Amino acid sequence: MGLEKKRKRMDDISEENLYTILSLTRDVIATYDESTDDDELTDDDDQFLLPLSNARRREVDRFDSDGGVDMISSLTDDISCQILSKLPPNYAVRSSTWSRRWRNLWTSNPVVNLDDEEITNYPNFVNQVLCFLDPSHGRKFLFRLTKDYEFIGAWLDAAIRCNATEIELQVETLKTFELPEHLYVHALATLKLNIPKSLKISVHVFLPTLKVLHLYKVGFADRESAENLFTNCPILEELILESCRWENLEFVIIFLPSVKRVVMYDPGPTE
Amino acid sequence: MKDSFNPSIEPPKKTVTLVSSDGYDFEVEEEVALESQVIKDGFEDKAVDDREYLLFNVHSDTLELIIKYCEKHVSSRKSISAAAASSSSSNGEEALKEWDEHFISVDTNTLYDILMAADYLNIKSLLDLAIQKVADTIHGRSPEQIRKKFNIENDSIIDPWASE
Repeated sequence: MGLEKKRKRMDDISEENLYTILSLTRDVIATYDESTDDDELTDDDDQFLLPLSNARRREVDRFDSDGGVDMISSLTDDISCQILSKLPPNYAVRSSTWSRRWRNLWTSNPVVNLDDEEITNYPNFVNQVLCFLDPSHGRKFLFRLTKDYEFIGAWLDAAIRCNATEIELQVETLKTFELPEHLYVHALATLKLNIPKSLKISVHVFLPTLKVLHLYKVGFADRESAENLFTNCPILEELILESCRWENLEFVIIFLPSVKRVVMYDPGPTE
Repeated sequence: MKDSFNPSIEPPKKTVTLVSSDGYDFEVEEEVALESQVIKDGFEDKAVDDREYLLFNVHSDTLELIIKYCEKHVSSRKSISAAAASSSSSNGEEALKEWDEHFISVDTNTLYDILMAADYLNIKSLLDLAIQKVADTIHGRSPEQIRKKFNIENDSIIDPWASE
């Protein structure tokens, strides 16, 4: 019991926390047939191996196991995180159950993909993920929302606190979407918005660190919204306007003194 | 004077020798070797005559595959741009994708070797391809299946699924 306690303390994410977050990814796992119960490692057998460190044990096991080598765990953290970044969010989080090596790796993912179609209990999942992420790495967030959520402002705030250097926000709801007013951006350099219905931006939105603004299929609610966005990015260097809809505006003033490159691209209406 | 920096002028075909970790020499065309960012960087720094690269981390079996990949990509990039120039329709990119798919369908150990070599040589497209392949393998599997597939030893003291 004493030993077990010691080992527990070594894990950075505590047991209860891991349970909470994994329960959110549970629904997907439930569909698998668990035919491998017999192969489960029993903790009792494990006790005899304790004097060896984990790394050492892994080394020993590599040669003991019949031919199979644990290739994926010997990859560098950087590559491992890149692999996790390519997975849907729930799979990336679930990697923490593979082994202790993978316990915390997903928290340094360079790309955090939060697509609400992949996850059933989306608000809860996002809250938990944003709690666990390691803020010492700059990273990219992908939010894809097909429903209205009341916490979206808080999520964006939390994402920025998790050192977001890039945020891609895709909102496919029918309502007007209003960008949160008081975003405290300190590292955000790239913002990509894909908000087809209508985007409202208050006069208080101020993005002092933004260098690249990419608007893809954005429909502005009114002229003020567009101008608030186009005048409150003091060091913006690149502005990309792709397939945006301008029917609510007669004209628009773009005041971006530092901009070096502007791309306007409209392939015309499709369908 | 300016012309010498013009990238559109093709340099004369030269070869580079790549030496694998187990001592085999591979003679490849310069532009094939330049697919690797590491060789490209080294190339710009090095004296002109020195055209041998010792790749301590890449086994000859893996190097053969890597060279095959680079050769294919160089040649198909040429044919795609030629087709675009003559504005004839071609499905070169799709064919290349299919080829990539086939190329990366290897066993886990080979995939691991390719992954490490692509990282070491810094060949971005190949690294992305291999990473995507690993991610695809993970996708749709339960943790237990993943541990089996990759021979991961479950050394965590808690198994969240065990209690139920």
